[in-house]
Parts: sequence; C-alpha cells; structure tokens
Amino acid sequence: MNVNLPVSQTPSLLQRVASGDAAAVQEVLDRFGSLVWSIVRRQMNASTAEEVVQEIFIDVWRSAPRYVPERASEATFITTIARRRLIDHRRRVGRQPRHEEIEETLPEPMDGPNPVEVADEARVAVRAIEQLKPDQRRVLKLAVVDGLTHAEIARATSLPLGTVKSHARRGLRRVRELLEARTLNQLGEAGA
Amino acid sequence: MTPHRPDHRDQNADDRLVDHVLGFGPELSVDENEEAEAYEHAVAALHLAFLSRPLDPLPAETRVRLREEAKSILDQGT
Repeated sequence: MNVNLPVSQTPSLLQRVASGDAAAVQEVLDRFGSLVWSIVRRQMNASTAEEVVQEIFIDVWRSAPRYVPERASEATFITTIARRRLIDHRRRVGRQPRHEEIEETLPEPMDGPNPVEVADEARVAVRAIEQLKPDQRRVLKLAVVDGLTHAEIARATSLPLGTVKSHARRGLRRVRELLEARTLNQLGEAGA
Repeated sequence: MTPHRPDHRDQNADDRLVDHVLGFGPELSVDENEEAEAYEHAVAALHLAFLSRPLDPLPAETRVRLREEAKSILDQGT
C-alpha cells in the first residue's frame, strides 16, 4: 500500500499502517481495539461480535491509505468504519440489534486515559448533545448506540414515529453543523 | 474541504442521508454516498460522545487473530 505525504509531515498511525508498518498495527489495536469491541458488543453477543470486529479491522487495514487527518480523527474514522460494518451486518442477517438498558444520563466529558479522548469531534458532539432536549437526546442515543430502528425507538419511548424521525434528524444535523464550524475555524487558523 | 450546508439541500434528500447514516434508509446513489460522509463523521462523533461507560477490553485471542490478519493484508499490499 502507498500513501502520499509531504516530506516534513509526521505520518499518523493509520498512515503508518498504510505504509506497511507492523508496529503501527499493534498500536492501532492497543488504542482502538477496546473501542471497536465495546461498540460492537453493545449490539450483539460475544461470538458474533468477534466475527464483526474482524470484518471491521480488515476494513480498517484496507482503508488506511484513504485516511485524511484533516477530515476526521483516527477514532472517528475507525468508528465510521465500525458503524458501516455493523449496519451491513444487520442488513445481512436481518436481525435487530440487542438492546440493553435505556440510559437517561448525559455523556461524561472525555477526560482521562481513554482512546476516545483523541477524538476532538466527540467533544463537539457532547456540546451538541447538551443543547438537545431530553427526548431528542434519548432518541439519538437509541439510534446511534443501540442501533434501534425508528419504529423500535417509537415503541421504547412512546413517542410518535414522526417525532422520533424529526428528533434523530435534527440532532444529527446539529452535530454536523458544529463539526463543520469547527473545521472552518481550523482551516482559518491554519491559513492565518 | 468545502463543507456542505444542509439547509441549502433539498429537505427530502437530506432526510434520506440522515436516515442512511443511522442505518434506517435504503442504499444510496454514489453522489449521495459522497455527501453522506460528513454525516457519517457526525454520527461517529456522536457515538463516541455517548460512550460514557468504561470500554470493554478486547479479548486477547481476538487481538492475536486481528494482528495475524493485518499482517496478511499488509503483506499483500506491499
């Protein structure tokens, strides 16, 4: 695999993977293995999770040459791949995800030695979540983390289906707007 | 990167993108998939933000298998 970098730029972890650096593979597993495992285990049992996690990391290794640090953190890039493979898996097996408890709490700020800490985008998302109404927050969490369908969320929350859809869409748009504003700010600072 | 402003899009098309990245919608066209990437990053960021409890450790056996698979894939690519 090849990856193009300016001579002066230090390659990111995924860019090192793309260059065939075996040590970088180990580092990716150290930093993001538990993150991916936790995301997947939330939606299925351990034996199925192992199969899906393997699919996710195969995709990560193959997608590493396409990673662009300016567009997303490595945690976000890998989580995006994990979500795609989870959705593929759900479509393939036609089975609905496991649903654990419905949590009402706000996400905690990302501090401490956690792999998630490297995702600045997650901090932006926390700010967006804090601006949402409790029902909107609950709907988004059930959709994003638990992988429930609109109809399942409507049943779990006793909200009308149309309300569930509008909550999910509005919340996600808000996060995207904040992320775009952050990107524009970064580009402005880089160009200053 | 030139961020796209959702408020300038057709509302129905935008709703389809949001549904798609949340795993609800149908498969999308290539153009829509490109546009969906910004939403995919947003939903990934949300997913990370919602992970408020401690992460479960990756099982050791799974880690070994993942490393072996990675070696095979990287060997093919170099």
